[in-house]
Amino acid sequence: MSIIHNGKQIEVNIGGISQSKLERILSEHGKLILDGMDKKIGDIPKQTVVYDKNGRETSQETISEESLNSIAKEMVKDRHNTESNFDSLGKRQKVKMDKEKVKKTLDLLNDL
Amino acid sequence: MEKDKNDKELFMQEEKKKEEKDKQKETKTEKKYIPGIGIDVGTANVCSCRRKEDGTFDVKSHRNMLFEMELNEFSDDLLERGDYVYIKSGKKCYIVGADALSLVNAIGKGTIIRPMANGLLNVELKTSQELLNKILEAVVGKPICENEPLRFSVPASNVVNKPGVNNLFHQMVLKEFFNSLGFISQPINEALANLYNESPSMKLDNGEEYPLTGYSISFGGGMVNSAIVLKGMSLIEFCSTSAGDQIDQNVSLATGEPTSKIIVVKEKKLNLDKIDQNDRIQVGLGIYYSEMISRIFKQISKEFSKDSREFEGAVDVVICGGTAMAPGFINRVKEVVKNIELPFRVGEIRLSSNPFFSVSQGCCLRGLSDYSKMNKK
Repeated sequence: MSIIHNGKQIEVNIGGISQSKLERILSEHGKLILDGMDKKIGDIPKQTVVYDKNGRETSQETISEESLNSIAKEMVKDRHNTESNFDSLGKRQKVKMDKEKVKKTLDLLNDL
Repeated sequence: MEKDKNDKELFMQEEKKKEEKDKQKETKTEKKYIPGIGIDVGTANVCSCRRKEDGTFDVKSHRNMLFEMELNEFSDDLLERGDYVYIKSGKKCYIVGADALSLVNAIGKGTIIRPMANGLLNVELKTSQELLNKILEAVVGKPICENEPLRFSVPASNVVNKPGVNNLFHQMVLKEFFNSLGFISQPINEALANLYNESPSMKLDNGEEYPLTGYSISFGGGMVNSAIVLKGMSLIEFCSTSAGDQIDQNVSLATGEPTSKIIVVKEKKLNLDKIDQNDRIQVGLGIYYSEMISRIFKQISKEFSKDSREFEGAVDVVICGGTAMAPGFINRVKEVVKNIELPFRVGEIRLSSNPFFSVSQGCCLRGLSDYSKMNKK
């Protein structure tokens, strides 16, 4: 099942659960998810407690990796809402490293 | 009138020539790099690293800090008069980078904020992702070839002092962002990147040598990241959010001084071998540095013992990160290690050859290797 919050679709796995229990879940645990969505960042829980028809607690995955990925995609667009007076940042420095050592490391990394 | 027109045309032509020259210059510079870029996305600093065709590395660093101001007459005036680097977002304005710290210290009030906290996106700051994206874009630049590989550092998912917190979302947002710039990006553990850069090896008693093997610790601003690595593969990874920034806050609480002042003392005066006992800030910093080092080594001992692992040879410890750059830091580590029982023999304990850029350099080496593998296919 999915719910819509602030225009975002949130997938919640609540197999066979009544409306009143859904409200209870959302008030107790769903808030964490919704807060996470509102802030668009943070410790979005991957699990929440859901109740079966007998009122027993069962733990299930609620936000899939795909859902997180779609939120991540949305967040990338946000940089266009800002205005800045720079194109490039950072102090540049030249670093010398032992060429033989670098070659050895690259050979090892190529084999990983 | 005719003369004005000619002057204008001449001016325009010269400007165009200048622009073309700049463009050629830029292309020439870009050609000097080998594809495969490394980015250290740290709480305190963002660093990028590229390798040139002559074998040297080009590193760039930016202080990942901001000073927030409401947009009003005062801020408009300040932005107009000063040459501060800034980002405007909604009704707020953010002075970016090292300018933020100097401005706070000059004004004498206000606090430094970061788009990241404890190694991940700062949940306290609603616009943090927008700001971080803007900063990253300006530090990283554009890809120099189609689908250029990019490796960015991430903390370990196992946050020992914050159960339930993981880096998955943070990692996804960064990957998505770098890909949107035209790179093919992949994360790499921060401590592992440092180990690639330092390439320690473990020597066994029978003369056999295990390359890319050792214990790597990155003491950053927001996190301390640890990895035990065997032949280039991570066996154990964990991190703790109690790091450099936490030390600043603890000392600030203990002394009543603002964190901006603590940072200045830490960076300009602190020598852990010669603490000025009359300076309360230095004394406080000394105490919290020792606590942090001891906590990390106790944790590695605990994590290593979990799976009854054993190393046959002595393990070198390679250390990097801004927090480890205080003079006397390695001596403190040696002192702690002497007084702690570890489940493996410790060989050499050393600071990375370039502690500030070591993670970005390690990321770059992995990026170069990605490019080389990409071309073989």
